Amino acid sequence: MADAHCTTVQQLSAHLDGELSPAARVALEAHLDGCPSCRGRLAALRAVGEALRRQFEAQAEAADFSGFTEGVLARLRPHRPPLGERLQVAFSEWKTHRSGALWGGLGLAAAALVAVLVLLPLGREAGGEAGHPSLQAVSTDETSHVAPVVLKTERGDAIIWLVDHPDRPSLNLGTDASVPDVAPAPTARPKGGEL
Amino acid sequence: MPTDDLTLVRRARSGDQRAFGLLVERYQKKVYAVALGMVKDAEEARDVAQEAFVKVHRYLDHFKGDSSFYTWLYRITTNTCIDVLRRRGSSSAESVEYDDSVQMDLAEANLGALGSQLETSPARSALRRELGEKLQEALAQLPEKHRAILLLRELEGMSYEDLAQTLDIPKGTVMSRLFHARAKVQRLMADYLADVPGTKGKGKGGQGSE
Repeated sequence: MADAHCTTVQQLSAHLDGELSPAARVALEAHLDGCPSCRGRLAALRAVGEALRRQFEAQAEAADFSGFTEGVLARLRPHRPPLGERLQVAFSEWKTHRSGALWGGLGLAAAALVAVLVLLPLGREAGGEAGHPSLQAVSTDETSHVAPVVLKTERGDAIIWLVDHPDRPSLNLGTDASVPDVAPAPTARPKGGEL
Repeated sequence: MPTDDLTLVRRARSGDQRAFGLLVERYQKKVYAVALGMVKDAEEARDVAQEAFVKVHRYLDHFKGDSSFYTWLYRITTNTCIDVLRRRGSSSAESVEYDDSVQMDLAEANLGALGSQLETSPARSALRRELGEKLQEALAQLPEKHRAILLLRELEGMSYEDLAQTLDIPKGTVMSRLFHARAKVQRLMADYLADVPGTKGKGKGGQGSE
């Protein structure tokens, strides 16, 4: 009997979880109709599951969670979102407010940036609406490893950020880098916001 | 209407700690319950649950959103618990996947007695408490992987698909692992019930059947 029941007994567990195929379920239910011992096993499986659930839910309900969230938050390192994400947020904020420097809205990201902003017209004439930032200066830090990030605007302009990233090799822009006519070709495209 | 998990995750990723706090509050009891089942000790379970959330925050950028947040959260939780158990030296990291003796025990044991005992016990709180303690002891004897899958299924009601994702195992393994975990708990509980008046479970090491 044990052999005949081996498969059935294994299926009881999946049956209890509603994970049997329709055909297997029908066959098992037919077996259960004529097998009191398997019905007992099924009841026992269900009872143990319910007892486990009751046991731990009751203990979790009774536990004191005061200070739990605060304890977690106190242990968090300041979260540094991926660069691409920070730049998108910054650009979005700048588009909304159109006031101050673009990097003014960068918050966390600002600390990671070597302040270089280039606004280039791509495929369109420059000279858009008043208030657009125009290129005033470009500077870089000779000790920095920089990588470009290109943000294309809906007008066809491109904003190119040169971003300090000590984990990446230098792009060799040189210590007296002048304004590039075109964006330096990225050696690696940003993936998922990571540079 | 509460903000959905993914929105809170997005906010937390952009540095909004309050959003992450909301996620913690939403899941703290569930994560704690799973941790308690895994490590048994209440204080340690609280520490583990907090550590799991800290790890979740640390790796927020790795969450791609192609699975639900909660399966990812429980994956980190169970892995954190297993790390703690291994550090403690109380885990059975090298334990066999399946205990061959379990299947025969399940076939022979009078598990219906356990079922009726537990089902009719609500009025008998002392017995329930005792059974609860016994359940925790039985859980502690399971290999950590079996403990994790049983807790996630019974406490969180996870589907086999979600369990497969959470534990990174095939669905077929979910099915067999759950069966063996349940069978072992029942066997351990059946042993216990032999000592409870009015039940007919087999005694420790006994070979009786009904």
